[in-house]
Amino acid sequence: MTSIRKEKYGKINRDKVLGFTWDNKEYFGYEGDSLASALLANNINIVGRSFKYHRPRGVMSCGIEESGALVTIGSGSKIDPNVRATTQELYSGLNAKGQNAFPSVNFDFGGVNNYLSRFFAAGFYYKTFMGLPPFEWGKGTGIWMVFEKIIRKAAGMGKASREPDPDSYEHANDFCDVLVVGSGPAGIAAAQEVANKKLEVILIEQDSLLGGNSLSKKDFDATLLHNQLKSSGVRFMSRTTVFGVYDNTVVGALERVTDHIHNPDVKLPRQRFWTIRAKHIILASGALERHVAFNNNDVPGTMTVNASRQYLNRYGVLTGNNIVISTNNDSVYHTAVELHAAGSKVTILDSRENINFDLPKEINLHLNTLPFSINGRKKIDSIDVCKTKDLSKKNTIICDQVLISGGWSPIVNLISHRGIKPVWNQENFCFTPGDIKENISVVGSAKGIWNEGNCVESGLIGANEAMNTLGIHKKEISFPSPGGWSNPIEPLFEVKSNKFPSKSFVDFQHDVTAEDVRLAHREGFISVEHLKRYTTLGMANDQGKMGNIIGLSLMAEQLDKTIPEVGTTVFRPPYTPVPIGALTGRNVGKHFRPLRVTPMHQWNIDHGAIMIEVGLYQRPWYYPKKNETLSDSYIRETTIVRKTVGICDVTSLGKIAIQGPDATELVNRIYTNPFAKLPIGKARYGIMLRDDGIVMDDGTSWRLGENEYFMTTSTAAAAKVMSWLEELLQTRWTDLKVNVTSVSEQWAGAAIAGPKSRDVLNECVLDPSEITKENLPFMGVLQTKLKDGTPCRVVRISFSGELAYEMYIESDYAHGMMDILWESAQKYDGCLYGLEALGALRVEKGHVTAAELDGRVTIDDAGLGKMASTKKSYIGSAMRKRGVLSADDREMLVGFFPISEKETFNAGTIVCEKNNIQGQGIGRITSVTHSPELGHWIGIGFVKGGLEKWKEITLIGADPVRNKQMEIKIVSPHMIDPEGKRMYA
Amino acid sequence: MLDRNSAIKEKYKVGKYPFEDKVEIIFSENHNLVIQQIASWPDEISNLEKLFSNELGFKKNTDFNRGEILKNNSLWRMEPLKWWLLGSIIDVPENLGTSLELSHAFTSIMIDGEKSKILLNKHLPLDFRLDYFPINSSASSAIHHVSIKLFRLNKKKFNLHIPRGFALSIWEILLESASQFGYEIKDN
Repeated sequence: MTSIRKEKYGKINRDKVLGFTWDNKEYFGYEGDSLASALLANNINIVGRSFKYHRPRGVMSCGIEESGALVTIGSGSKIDPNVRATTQELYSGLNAKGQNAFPSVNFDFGGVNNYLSRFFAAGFYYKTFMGLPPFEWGKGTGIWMVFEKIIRKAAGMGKASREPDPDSYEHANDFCDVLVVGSGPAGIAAAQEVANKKLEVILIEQDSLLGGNSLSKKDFDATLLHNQLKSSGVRFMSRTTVFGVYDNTVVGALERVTDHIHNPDVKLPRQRFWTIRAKHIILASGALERHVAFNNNDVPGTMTVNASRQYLNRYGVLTGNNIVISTNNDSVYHTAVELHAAGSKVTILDSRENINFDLPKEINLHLNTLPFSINGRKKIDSIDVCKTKDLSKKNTIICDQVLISGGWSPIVNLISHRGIKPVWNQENFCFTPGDIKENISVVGSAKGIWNEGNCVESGLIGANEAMNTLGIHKKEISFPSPGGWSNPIEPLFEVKSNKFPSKSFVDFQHDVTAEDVRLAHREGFISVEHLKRYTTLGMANDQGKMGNIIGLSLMAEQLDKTIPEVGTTVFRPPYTPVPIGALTGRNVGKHFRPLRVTPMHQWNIDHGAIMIEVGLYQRPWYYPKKNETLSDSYIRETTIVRKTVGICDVTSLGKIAIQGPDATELVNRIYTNPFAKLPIGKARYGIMLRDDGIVMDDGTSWRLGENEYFMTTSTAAAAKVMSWLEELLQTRWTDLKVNVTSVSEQWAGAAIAGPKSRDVLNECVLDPSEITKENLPFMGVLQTKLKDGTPCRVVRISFSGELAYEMYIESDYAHGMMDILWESAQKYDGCLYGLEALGALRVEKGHVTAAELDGRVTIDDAGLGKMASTKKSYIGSAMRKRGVLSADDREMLVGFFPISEKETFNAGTIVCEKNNIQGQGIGRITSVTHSPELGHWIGIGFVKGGLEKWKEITLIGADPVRNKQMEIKIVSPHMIDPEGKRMYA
Repeated sequence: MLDRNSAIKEKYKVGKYPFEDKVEIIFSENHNLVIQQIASWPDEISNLEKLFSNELGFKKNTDFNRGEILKNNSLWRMEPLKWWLLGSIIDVPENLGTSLELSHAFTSIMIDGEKSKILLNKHLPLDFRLDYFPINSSASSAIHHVSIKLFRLNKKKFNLHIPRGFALSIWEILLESASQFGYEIKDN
């Protein structure tokens, strides 16, 4: 094939020369070129190697259906493999390489596979890994592990970068009355007609230019059309592919924002993932020209006929000097005349007996003639042809290019996404869209309409159908019939070869041959779905756009059925590949999840906190002094809290305002313990159960007024409890006059814990006399003011087991509150403490958190059974009494000590009897810490039968994940101050 | 009294950040946000509406997801039985419903400019065409899974309320996606 750039052809801007590299060599193209057209203009014909046999491949089409010119763009972290050169716009500095080849696509050692092809037939993987014949050596996983690496290296497409993707992507939403997909004649007509009725129209075109197949016309002016549409009010989205049609006329579309720009501004996303909600969709997605299966139908230089016309009239590239066109339909004749006019020698092979066209006498027309085999390996030398009724007699025609048209396939993929089965049209030998019962119209060649005038008419009718469904008007509509050629098409899917194994390709991307389809039939894979999976027909990134119909026809022949009887595989989104980056959008890196911070976040960081993610929250983990490790730091912090005072950000606790005359009733119904008589100004610790009697969460509720409570929940269960209360009020207790509102964000909280906490607080509030043992007893609540007059709430409550308080303030004042508290605490040699010390303190005290209340634990298991009222009904009060929840051998909350004080253990350690270390053992350790107070590691968790059963018995802590075992003993979970003298001080 | 501290203070850098010499988004934070949530008992809606009219001068009985803006305050019906009063606080008799201050629970960001709608549509699946989301409309939706409240103040100006703890994260995402249009952060 000798392709050249032609003067006076094409819509490229010859004033703007673009330099690019292909396989490390520099070339030039023009603005408006695709990579494929630029390669062809530089007479580069081998641009890829096939998947399995590493056969040289050239440009085979001009669009998204491309199977040959799959290349790798970019380098380093910007490598983008499997890019279709036909859809990649050329830009200055574009760096493209061939892929799946070593050392290059021009000369590839992998090409040896071509000579071993008889061993690589369909199903080769399955057969090989059942064991190698004759003795099925290596049967099983072992041999697969050996061969997998080799096969993965030998077969496949391009290689992605292993570096993180440096580009950004984003999501976007849009809405319109009518969405038109495709800007060919039918789509344009539809969009303009709808826009004329003042409806909002979005027209989506995957190409950079408007026009669809009109771009293959010599005199078509895309700019003029663009301006016309703009003045009609049509919103035009170019470089955007609709990849899926979903429920309620929602489409997914991928916009390639900067894929055509060298070194784009980093502020721009590379691609944009659109969700567009329309009231009506008009699919004018066009049709794809088919190849024909015959021997060596993949030699570089083979191309669809219309592609050649596109290259000539859009890009100014004449793709061959001596061209043979093989067809079974009328669509090629105009192209033949144009190629001839452009200077090529043209020969047409038409499989039909008679046609009615006036052709220039220089164009040789051979009727009743089929392509039999292309001669040549890396380029076409000639083609053997034969008569339709006698394949044995062959003539050879010298040529450098073979253009194929085996008919056209309407793009029914998008409408198939809606579960609408395509219908076989026997007159036009193609599938057309089935009956549509949604607000979707299909127009133009996507409906199997070939004649341009009829396409335009169908667009107008589609627009009217849209307006009928939208209630704009009510018109009788009737679409033109499919077809439109002067001479009927005749079926031509395969020209059988007498060679074995023949290289008669059906699916070029996956190297599926006609023989593979027949092999699948012989081996019983006759369902189209099985055929697809067995041969991989239609499974590559072109998803069968080129080969499906041919494959189906071959299977139909084998089964002695018609194509519609064989059926077609189900098309599912995406229509074209969607990068994972685009699916992810901006939700990557630190925005993988939304980060939640407390109002003291920056204050904590400024004061040396090392942060840790807890759920979505960023919380202070520990506050290391110089050279301190985590352990050093939290042990110091824990010690100081027990000795003097510490301050800790506890904002992440859930907080709920409960208001209304029935607030007390609500609180009393959800907690296991009584709240009906809780006085104003007092708080109470409560446990709430699920309906099934298992503990849902624990927390406190403060009575702020007659009809107002401030509930705190655990950090982990904040959202769950809030929605649980809403559910109860909206579905079960609709008679209660109560409002619940999350105020987790409204209030910031700090714990002030330690023997000096009262002194610290006294210095912080406006009226120190309020913070006395008498005025603010354990679980007392005070609404007061900081010393500068800012209102705050104080509750005397202890998670650490020490004399302790929690202070809450409106969030925007949190920094100021911490300044005041910290200034005071420092006078008492206090410290800031983080989550690690908080955990150490509470484990020492035996307080439970979500680590213990994990959805399997009853109130009795947690040792809090006394909090379950016997006098009132509450959520879970009946179900908690089920026998299984009160069995003697249930796992009960206990403490753990290592027998040897030097031993450490981890949360998750399984507790086993000494002579029975297996399975799930008899319990589990849920939380651990080093106890500065006790001088060794401690833990809490659960053991069957609880403390009484295992007291004084040495058990084993088994940690199979870390391959560790240690002797442990069971103790009370309340390891520090069990009488609560410090807490009540 | 302590000074109020913005949740996005560390990333709120006043200035212009153009793209191709253009600034098409203007951000500003309402640093002194005042929100009073007022929830009505079902049979007291009309009496509560009278209260809004008599005490504050709101003339319309706003529908769900609509608001009314006066000179110093605005009233937004966020749920069928819940309103947000912005800019002032009133006493609500207990027999009419409950009142709760949420002034510190949200970060309030004004988003103005030619591309404000397009920017918001990068994060929100809301139809901002004026026929579907007219001026004085409100919506509860989510940005990056974080629930937000949005008010439309005029054709191009929106008021976004983000839960305070997520505000910094969402603010960063908004700035990232606004950089393609050019933006300005105004001191308010």
